[in-house]
Amino acid sequence: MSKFESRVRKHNSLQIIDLIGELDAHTSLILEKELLDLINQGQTKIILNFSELKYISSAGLGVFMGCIDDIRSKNGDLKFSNLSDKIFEVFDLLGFPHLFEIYNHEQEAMDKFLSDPNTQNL
Amino acid sequence: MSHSKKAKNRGIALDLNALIETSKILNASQDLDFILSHILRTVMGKLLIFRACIITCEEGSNSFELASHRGLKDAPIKIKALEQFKSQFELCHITPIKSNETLVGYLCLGQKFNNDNFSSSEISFLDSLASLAASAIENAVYFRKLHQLNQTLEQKINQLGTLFQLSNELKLHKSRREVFDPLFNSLESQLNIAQLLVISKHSTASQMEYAKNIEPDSRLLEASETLLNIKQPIRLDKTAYSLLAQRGFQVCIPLKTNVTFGIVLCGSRNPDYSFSDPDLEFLYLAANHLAVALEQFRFFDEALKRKALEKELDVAFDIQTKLFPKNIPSDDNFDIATYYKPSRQVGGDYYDSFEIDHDHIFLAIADVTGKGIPASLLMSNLQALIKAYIELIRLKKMSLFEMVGKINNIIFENTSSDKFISFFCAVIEKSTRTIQSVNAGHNPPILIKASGEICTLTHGGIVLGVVPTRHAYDYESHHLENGDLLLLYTDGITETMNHKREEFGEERLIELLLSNMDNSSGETLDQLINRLNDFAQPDQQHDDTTAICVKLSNISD
Repeated sequence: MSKFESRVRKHNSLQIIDLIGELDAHTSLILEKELLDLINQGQTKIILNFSELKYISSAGLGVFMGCIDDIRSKNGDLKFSNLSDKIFEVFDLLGFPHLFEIYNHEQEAMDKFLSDPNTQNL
Repeated sequence: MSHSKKAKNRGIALDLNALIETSKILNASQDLDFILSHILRTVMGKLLIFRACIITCEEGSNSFELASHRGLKDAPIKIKALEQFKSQFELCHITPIKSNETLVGYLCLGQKFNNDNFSSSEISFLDSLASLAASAIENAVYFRKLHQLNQTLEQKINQLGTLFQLSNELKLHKSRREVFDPLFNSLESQLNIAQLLVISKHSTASQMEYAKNIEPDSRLLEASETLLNIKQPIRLDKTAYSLLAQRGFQVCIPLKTNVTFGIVLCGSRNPDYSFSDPDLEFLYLAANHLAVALEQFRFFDEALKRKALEKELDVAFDIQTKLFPKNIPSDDNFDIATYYKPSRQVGGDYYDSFEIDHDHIFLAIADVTGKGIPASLLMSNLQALIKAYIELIRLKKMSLFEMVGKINNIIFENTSSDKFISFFCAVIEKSTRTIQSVNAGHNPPILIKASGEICTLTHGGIVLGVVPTRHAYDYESHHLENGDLLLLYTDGITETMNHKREEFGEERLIELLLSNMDNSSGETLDQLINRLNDFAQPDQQHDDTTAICVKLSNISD
């Protein structure tokens, strides 16, 4: 039944979310709630691992757009890693690379966060 | 070139994908919030926008509501000034949402991430999404209306059920007092009514007939006086009806069939409950059931009373008829005729005439106060007393005025002082042609001599039954001659009124008698009655009319 699942891993002050399955109109809601919960808890340094995501709709991308201002205003960020070629093509087509940091590997995203002076202070 | 062409195709495919997905959601979901937020997510993801919202406006009104929003911090739900809201949240691109040319809302977007303008294909994409949003909003409005309608229907069915039950219960109750509890129970179960006061209106004063969970206090009666003529249920204004409001009453419903004959005051268990129009309608219908039941009790009571009264009148009439003489002692020399016409209700006139012995004729006429059985009984008492004492008169052991004194004492002792009898009696001695009479407060009989001399027989005393006899009643005697005419009558004759409200009076009566000096007593009375009928206005309520006419015949001369 469930076409989508998200798993949150904690790594020090970082939140790493594995996106699994398909992010469509319905499942976008699940992810949106997940992200809002983290923001409300003050957890705003988030890495989204796309390695097991098969599909993402415009609505799925809309989730990131809706919360990124809030996250950044709290000294946090949303970084993406492990995108498949197909999904990267969509991101690229829409211009997402201008707005979000996209890494090939999760570790690179983590390193970027850790090199940030705000994160080191934590 | 081929790469950018491919990218353009991919872009169109994405647009279509997003639109198809959105329309699928629209068909599958009734959840407006989800549909609208999905549209926002789609637009934001697709056009790279950080802030977006959908504002709806109520049909034909200027009030706006934030139906869904993303990326807007601390945005109010109710929007008073649309322009100010747009500038506050930097919403620069507005797409109207129209359903059948009616504006139902706006899709408002912030700048794109790179501050680029929207391309024409993006604008047409937004238009498509806006029309999908319109369908969603329209559907949601219909759905909400349908839901409300369903609720109203359910409530109506429920109310009808309660009313039906109430009317059935009211039918089962036998006394007036028993009808109020079922009403309270219905109102309690349907509208959570906690207290009830029923006030019924009477010609003299209103009265609290039923009080449930409220102390029936006379101040409540005063405070609701102005409500006693309402025709429709009203909500009680807290300032205009402060006392009633303080005591927890919120609405007032009339009890009426044709006219308002009472009111029902109600208060809910919830002091802040505001009664809706359908609530008032229900209360009105319930009160109508009660009103009908109460009216039925009233009609029933009235019918019973009327039956009792009719029965009483029958009995009284029976008694009275038996009191009147069947044969009048009349011969060639003493021509006596009588006339009696009772009023529609049984009245208090009495007359009698009989032979005491071969030489003496007794005449009496009386008017008893009151009507119905009490008057009839008093009359029959009077007759019994006369019949008893007349024996002593026959034996010459008592005179007529003594008899009247005795009768007065007995009547006085046996009746309350508001009951009295005007009474006149006379004895005619045939051999000496004398008449001796005593008048106890009765209309003086008229004696017209053949010579034309007129006298009235006034000697006697006070009416019977008011004070005991301290002084003997006076009497008078007259010698009678051929052609003399004597008329005994009750005030029903002289007080007959014409259309100018003039009484017939003694003068007209004497005039008529004078013109009948040559007629027999029977003919004289016939003339009198005809004259009275001509005089009286039609359909007038008559008093009892009684007369005795005595004529000393010329024939034997």
